[in-house]
Amino acid sequence: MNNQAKPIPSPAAATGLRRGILGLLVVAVFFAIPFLGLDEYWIYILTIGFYYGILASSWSLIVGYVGRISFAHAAMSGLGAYGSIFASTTFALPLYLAIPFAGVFTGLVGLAIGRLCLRLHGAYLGLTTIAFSEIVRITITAEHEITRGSLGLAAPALFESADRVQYYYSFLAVLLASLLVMWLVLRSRIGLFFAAIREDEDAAASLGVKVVRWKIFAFTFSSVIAGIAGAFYAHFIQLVAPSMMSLQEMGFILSMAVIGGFQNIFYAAMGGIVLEVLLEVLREIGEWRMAIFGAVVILVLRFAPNGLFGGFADYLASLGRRS
Amino acid sequence: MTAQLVAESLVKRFGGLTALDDVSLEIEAGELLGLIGPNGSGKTTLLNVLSGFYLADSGTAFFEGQKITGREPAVLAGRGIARTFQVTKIFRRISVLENLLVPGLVDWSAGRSTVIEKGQEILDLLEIGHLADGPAAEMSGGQAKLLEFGRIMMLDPKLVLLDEPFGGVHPMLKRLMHDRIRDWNGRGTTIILISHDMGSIFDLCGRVMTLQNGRVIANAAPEQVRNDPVVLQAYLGTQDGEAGRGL
Repeated sequence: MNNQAKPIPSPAAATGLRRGILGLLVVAVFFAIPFLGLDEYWIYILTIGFYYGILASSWSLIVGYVGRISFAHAAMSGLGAYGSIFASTTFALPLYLAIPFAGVFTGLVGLAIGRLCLRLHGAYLGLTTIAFSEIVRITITAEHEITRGSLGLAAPALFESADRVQYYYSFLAVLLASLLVMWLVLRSRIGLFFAAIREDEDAAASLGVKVVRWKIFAFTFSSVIAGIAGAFYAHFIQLVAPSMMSLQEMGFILSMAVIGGFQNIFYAAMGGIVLEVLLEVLREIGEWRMAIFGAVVILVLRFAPNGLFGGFADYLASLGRRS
Repeated sequence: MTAQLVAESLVKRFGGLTALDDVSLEIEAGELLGLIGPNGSGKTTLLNVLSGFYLADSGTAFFEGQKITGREPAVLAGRGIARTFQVTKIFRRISVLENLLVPGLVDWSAGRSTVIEKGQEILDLLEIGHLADGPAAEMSGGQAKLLEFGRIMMLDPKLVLLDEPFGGVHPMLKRLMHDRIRDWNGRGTTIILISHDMGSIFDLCGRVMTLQNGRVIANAAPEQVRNDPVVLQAYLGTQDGEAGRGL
């Protein structure tokens, strides 16, 4: 008789399964939303929420997983938007080439910035990216003849029809695809190198991890995703202006990631979607929304460092442990 | 026979302070060298230069005939030079086993399952295998020191630089660490051991080098160093034989 006991599923595996099921349910809800009779306006808002979901999650990849702060994400998205517009208008590339071109373009910019300042420790990346964002925004605003400055530049539409649902599903697909690619990278050995770098650069280097190379890779990778997101956004909104690269816009992305949970790309993405919806819900109170979000960011950082969704997931895990 | 590690006239300055002042040394493969000296004598600075964390202001070091000064720490780890740190630097927010996977997976030809198996074997050898899936943050100070040991064992290093590995470690764990160091060294690994624990130094090392104010003041067998009046003076401020018993 075989007396070997069956392996007991570990609590971590059970929690992972529970989170996986919950994630699939959330995706199912987003797929079902257009069939629930939701107003077209809210379909439009959710589509923009997916855009912010991509930006918040790819920003959290640098901050939450590699432990480096960047304020260039909105600028990267803007560069992707302008890059795709120029590629599709000036160079007459079809959009299926112009959008990847935007990703490559922002990736190269990210690579250049990464090589410039990721060898340095501390706050240098953060400070450099603030300066970079402002330089890019001011240059685009000033070069009126090429970019039409703050009037904005018209972009060709992604689809011939103006069907909001078509855009909704496209953005949902781009969000899911970018999350999948990031997740695959993070669960590979590269994700482990990121964690080692975040925890202690010197220890990681002493164990053979090429710290600078992987920091530059993370920054370039997240820049590519931001650039592609910006390109899709441009061809959805069909008019982009330098304001999409402002530090206020960067503040939105930061708030979304922090409130959602910047140590997990999925929670950060949810933060992007939910906060975009809340921004619209609270539109009546005008600029006070920003003050409220700022206060919420401070409170979340103090009392729920894993973000609201991260905190909720931890609560579910604790229920699992108790049962 | 050429020594495995050769350092020639290493100098390292921090502003007006000369932390290493014309330090030269040679170590044969398979040697276990103790490195002692009062606080601020330059021991850790020497390790930092040899492991690529500091750039020497002048002087050169060679490992197996290849220049190592000015090389990145990760490159030197790839060449077989591994180190621990005076203040333990474990990756607290990942699991104990994942801490070992980091050095294991640096080699892209290594498969994940093979590395996991090797990591688990090393943890078992260090008697912390039962902690493998738990977060490293929950380990005691002594267990964290063992985990640092385990991480560098994953690299199968040729030269190991140990910086105060016994600091704050329970005597039982210390014995286990002694066994592992002997075992390592017995299999041909060269070791440089920094410690203020003189019992461990004299028990383990075949040769002891003493630094004071960045200069080598003694480099001899343990029994000679123990009775060297210059070393006693540097360490205890006295050449008194009574005080020398502390060494």
